[in-house]
Amino acid sequence: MGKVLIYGTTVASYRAATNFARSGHKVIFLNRGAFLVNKPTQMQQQHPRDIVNGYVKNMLVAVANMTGNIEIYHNSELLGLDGGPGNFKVKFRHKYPTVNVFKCIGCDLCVEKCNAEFKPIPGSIGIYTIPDPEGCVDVCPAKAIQIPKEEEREEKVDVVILSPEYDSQEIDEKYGGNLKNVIHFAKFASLFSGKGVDKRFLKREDGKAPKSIGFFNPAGFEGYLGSYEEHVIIFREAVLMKEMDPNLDVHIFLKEVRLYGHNQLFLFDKAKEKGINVHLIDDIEVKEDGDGVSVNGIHLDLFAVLPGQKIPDDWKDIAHKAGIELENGFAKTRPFTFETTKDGIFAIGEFVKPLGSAESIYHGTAIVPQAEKYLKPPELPQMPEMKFKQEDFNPKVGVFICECAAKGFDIDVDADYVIKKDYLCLHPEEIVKEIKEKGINRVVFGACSPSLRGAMLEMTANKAGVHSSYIENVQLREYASRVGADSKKANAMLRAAIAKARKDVFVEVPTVNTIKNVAIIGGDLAALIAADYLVEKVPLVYIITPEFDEPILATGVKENTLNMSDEELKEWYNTLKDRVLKRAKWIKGEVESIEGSLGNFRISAAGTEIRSGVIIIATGGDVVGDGTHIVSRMNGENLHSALSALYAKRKGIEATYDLMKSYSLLDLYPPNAKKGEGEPLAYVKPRDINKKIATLLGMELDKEGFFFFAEEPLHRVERAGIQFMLFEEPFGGVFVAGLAHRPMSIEEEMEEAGFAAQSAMYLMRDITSPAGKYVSVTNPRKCAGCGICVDACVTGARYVDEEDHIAKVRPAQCVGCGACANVCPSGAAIIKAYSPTGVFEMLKEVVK
Amino acid sequence: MSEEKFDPVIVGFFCNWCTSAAADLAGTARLHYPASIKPIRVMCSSTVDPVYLIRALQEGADATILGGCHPGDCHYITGNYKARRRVAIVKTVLKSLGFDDTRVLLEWISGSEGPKFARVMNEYTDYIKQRGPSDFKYLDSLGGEEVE
Amino acid sequence: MNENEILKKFIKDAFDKGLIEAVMAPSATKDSYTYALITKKEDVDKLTPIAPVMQWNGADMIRRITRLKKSERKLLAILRPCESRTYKELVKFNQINPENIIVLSYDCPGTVHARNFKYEPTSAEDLLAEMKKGNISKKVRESCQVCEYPTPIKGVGDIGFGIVNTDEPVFFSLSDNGKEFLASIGIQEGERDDSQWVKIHRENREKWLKEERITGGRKGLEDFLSSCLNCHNCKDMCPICFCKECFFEDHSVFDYESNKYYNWADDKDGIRLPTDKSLFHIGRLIHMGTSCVGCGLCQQACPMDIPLYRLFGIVGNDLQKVFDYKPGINDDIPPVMDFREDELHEFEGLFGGEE
Repeated sequence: MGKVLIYGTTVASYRAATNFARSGHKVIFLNRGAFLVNKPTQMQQQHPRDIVNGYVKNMLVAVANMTGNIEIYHNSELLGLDGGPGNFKVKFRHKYPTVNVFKCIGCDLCVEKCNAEFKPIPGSIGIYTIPDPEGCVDVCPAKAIQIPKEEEREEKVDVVILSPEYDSQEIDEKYGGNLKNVIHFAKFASLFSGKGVDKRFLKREDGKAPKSIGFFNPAGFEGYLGSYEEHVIIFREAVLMKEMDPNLDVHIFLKEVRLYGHNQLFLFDKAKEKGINVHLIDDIEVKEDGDGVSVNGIHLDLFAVLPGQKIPDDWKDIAHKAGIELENGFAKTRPFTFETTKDGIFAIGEFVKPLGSAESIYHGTAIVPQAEKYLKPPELPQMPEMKFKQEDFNPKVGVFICECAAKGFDIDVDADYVIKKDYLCLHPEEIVKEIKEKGINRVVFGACSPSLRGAMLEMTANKAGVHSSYIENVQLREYASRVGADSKKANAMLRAAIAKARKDVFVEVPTVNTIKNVAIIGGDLAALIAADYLVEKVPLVYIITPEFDEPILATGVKENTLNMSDEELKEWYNTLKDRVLKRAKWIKGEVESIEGSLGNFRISAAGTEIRSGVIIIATGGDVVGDGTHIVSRMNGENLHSALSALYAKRKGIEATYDLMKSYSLLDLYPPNAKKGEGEPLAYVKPRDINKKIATLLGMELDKEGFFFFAEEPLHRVERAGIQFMLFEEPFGGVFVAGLAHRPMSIEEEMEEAGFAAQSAMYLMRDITSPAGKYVSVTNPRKCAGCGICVDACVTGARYVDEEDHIAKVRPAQCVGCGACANVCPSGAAIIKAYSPTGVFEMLKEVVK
Repeated sequence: MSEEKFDPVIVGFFCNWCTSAAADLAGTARLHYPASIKPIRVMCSSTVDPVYLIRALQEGADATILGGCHPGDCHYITGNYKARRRVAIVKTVLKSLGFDDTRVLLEWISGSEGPKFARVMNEYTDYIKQRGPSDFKYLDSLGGEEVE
Repeated sequence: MNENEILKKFIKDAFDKGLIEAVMAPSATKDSYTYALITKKEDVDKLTPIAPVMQWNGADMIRRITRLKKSERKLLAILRPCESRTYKELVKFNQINPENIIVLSYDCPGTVHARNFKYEPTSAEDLLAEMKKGNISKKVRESCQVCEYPTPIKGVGDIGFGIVNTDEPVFFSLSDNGKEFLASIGIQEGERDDSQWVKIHRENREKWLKEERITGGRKGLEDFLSSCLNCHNCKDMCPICFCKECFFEDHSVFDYESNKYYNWADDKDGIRLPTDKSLFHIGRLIHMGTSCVGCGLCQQACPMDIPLYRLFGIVGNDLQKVFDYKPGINDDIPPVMDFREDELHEFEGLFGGEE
């Protein structure tokens, strides 16, 4: 088991900590903020309603609780760093917050007795700040209150990962920062935060409802950086405003439209269609104008600026302390890795380049196999095997009431046992004892939300031998006592849960035996990189391709964008290829057929039958056109960057998406091509084989022929797809990397290949259905094989068996959403935990 | 039943990831809303079979709310779109037969919209109070005002 | 030759040319007509391709033949327009495998209620004669009087047989398969104008939709269903209700302990038994309403003569309007299998998205 130190508060660092911990390594996580939950990541600073941040943080907390592998320090500051890989000594300063969020149970005693200040935070217990912690330590039953002393510590770790975040920015005066009615985008977004996007809440500071709004992001203007994500956010918000009120006059001001590839352009089209004015400008002038502002001569009642990103001053200091080099203000990394100029120190996230949430998650995943070369083998905690009684013919319902949740309620329900305790979550052993002694076989908890302590209570009942199928949770606290409900409501909720518990049936959560091999289709650079990560760790890696791409072609551009000579690049490439092909099995030829699903694919290629648990698609692309690198701006065209290329293509001119890299570092040093001096274009063309593979796997290609991946085609916004917020299973065992996905730089090939490889690694185990007790099943007696459930299933977990004409479930892919059960007219598709029998019982009780 | 005394029963099916989370947030933020809301946590708005909504009304609920994630934000990607179709079917059937279709409410409330959750619950309860008790529960019974 | 004879000759020719190996079409019984499946040319004369009664929905019969495996022989099915729409709808629901099947459909004069026919027989020729005069016979069922598509439609089925507004019946193709079929059999495709026949039906339908609507919520529905026996015949005869076992007949869900009955009786000031009668009809509307093809067999099946098509047809019509969906007339995906991102905002929130 290795030990990793992660420094910084970014989507990438949160995800990296999560991934190292669940891979079986220890993590020291130095959060730079005051609390785990209130140090915003860069995107959250700009867009408080963004959901990605919340998910990565909640996931970190969940994995920290589950594995016990993460130690978190807050308000941390890096002081110094010595040693090398396997032997780093990291000195840092940190300060305890007054309340340990991992221990706090949200009982409110500190509010009542010590005047603690409380701030609610979505998805968590909230933040308590205690004015006088010394005097309050004994008040807390959970012992969560701590003295906020500052401390210097030294930790010995094997690997250091740096991922410092951008500073939050104010609006520059040039863009009207000092003017009335020029508003920070974060503030604008929070007008609707928590309350919903509604006309009633669109108000200026003076209380007036604006009739015209403008949005602006300075990316591309002097010193300002940005990724596509800011533009996605601006377009989304603008469209939302227009949908909320079609009479609103909405303007967008940008240097260029940074919507790239796939479905992002959909937003641009939608904005145009809704009548939003998009101004592409080279200069901006913001002036006071009567009761509003004028932007380049256009009067606006309200001007919202997403202030953009700038390289923070303290990065130099961090680099200095860590002894690493910077390049253009960002951490300098070696080609094809996140490793900085110093062995064993890695840089991820916005410390490397401006990037969006999706790429941050790639970083936080792809880092694992890279760092593992310095780490001792991981150790995963062995879960004790639990034996559950499956059939309980005589339900014995035990109701456990937590007094903290049922404060002020007169609980009067009819069950076999009603047991009241002060703080259920603090006395798990007593719950176990009661269940065992009394022979309780169905448990109802009247406590708090499953997203708070409810999940832990369920585990406690599991320990006592009660299967999750027989456990019901009633949120007496969040749904009743904290919202001013009366005993009547509390009792109705409890009675409903008791009625359901009596009808609960055992749900066996299926485990799928998977084949522990990986098949990589294609000969892109991403194929070799992914194989390189995997060959040592999985029994067999197949690479199915007639040939491998030449190194230059494999980098996705005709011009080598790395600081390497062509000879160096060739040498590196050949070494990599030799190393991979020594261990991996190369199937020379094209894929002929693919059958099966996650955990059990059967592929035939070049006359060989292959079985694998996971497929990685890395078919690469071809670079065509006369140019040496891909140009971002058309000569004589008013549209910029990718847009121009795409629009040009629509008109039949060969052009393309921009190189993803050109919107980041090149903001600081724009190449000539970007200035629009008519250089010839180069273009990445997807390969024809994509069509065949997509058909075989039932996947979708975009208009150009690239694979959709992680960006759900229906979601239409290329940012962190929802799949990222769950773990690997929803991808259905198929990952796409490299030029098969979109035109990209060589570094991005490395990131995607790393993400695919590491995700495949997590799937190299027997997979218990991620749906848990909510797993979908079919009653074959009732199923008419109509296939409505197949259309409803979003993960492809359902299919109609040709043999018996009955819908079947692939449990490894089922996420338990219940859409199949909803649409099934026969009641043949069911989620047993929400069977009509149980729900009808609940409804009867709840309406009383 | 006189109007001020009428205490409606509203069954809420709230998806686990958004509306239930918003209800949790309303709870942690101590935002009060009427006790007439009886929440049932489901995994996704698409878990809720339309028959459940009808059944809730039949069992005696004065109204039902189905709460899901905002379009595009569904944890299961498209669950809420499917739920919207089902609600459209239920509401159309009710309206077509001359029932009060406003007794089925579809709302998008995200996990961070605790205040919106409380607001919707308040507004809807007020609305249902104005409408008065539902007579749907008396369908196929001897009770209610309509039967002589 | 009358229409039935022409069709029989058509079938025989098709047998001779080896274009088909089996036929499904109505055949007379003592008091009615049922569908019959024949595989030999010499059995063709036992058929009455255009029957005055529709006891079952023919598409439902094809469903039984092909649900498990595709048709192993080349089958010609003679279906009424409503049945061929059902056929198309059931293909979408994976209940019919259309491979190896040719569907022939004709200008439909309507059919007589099966029970009326038993006591007051009519011939198809009588109905056809009325049709040729341009009148909808008063004898045909309510659903036939207000039929939205009483004639074959392009893309639905394969071959059309035109009777209205023409001296001699004409064959025409509805699909590429049909075109090939007619060419192979050596029939010149003909034309006829069916617009008048369609128009008078649509006029009836508009009036019917307005006048026969069930209103009044609880009272209206209770009164409408007051004589319902809860026999579920309407569901059994509904071709869209293809479930093996109806959700509303699931004993694990709809069997209750005695206390539940007593509690209900307490709460609701007495309940009517058996329970869940209206829930069954509302539930069925939710499940099949969007795909109701309007064959009207629910109404024919009702032993108590409840005009059920006014319930399923009119509410179904409302539902189909919401989704802009017409079951069985084109390749659109049924609303229950599909969704769009940007739609149905009027069903969001209390006042239809607007707050």
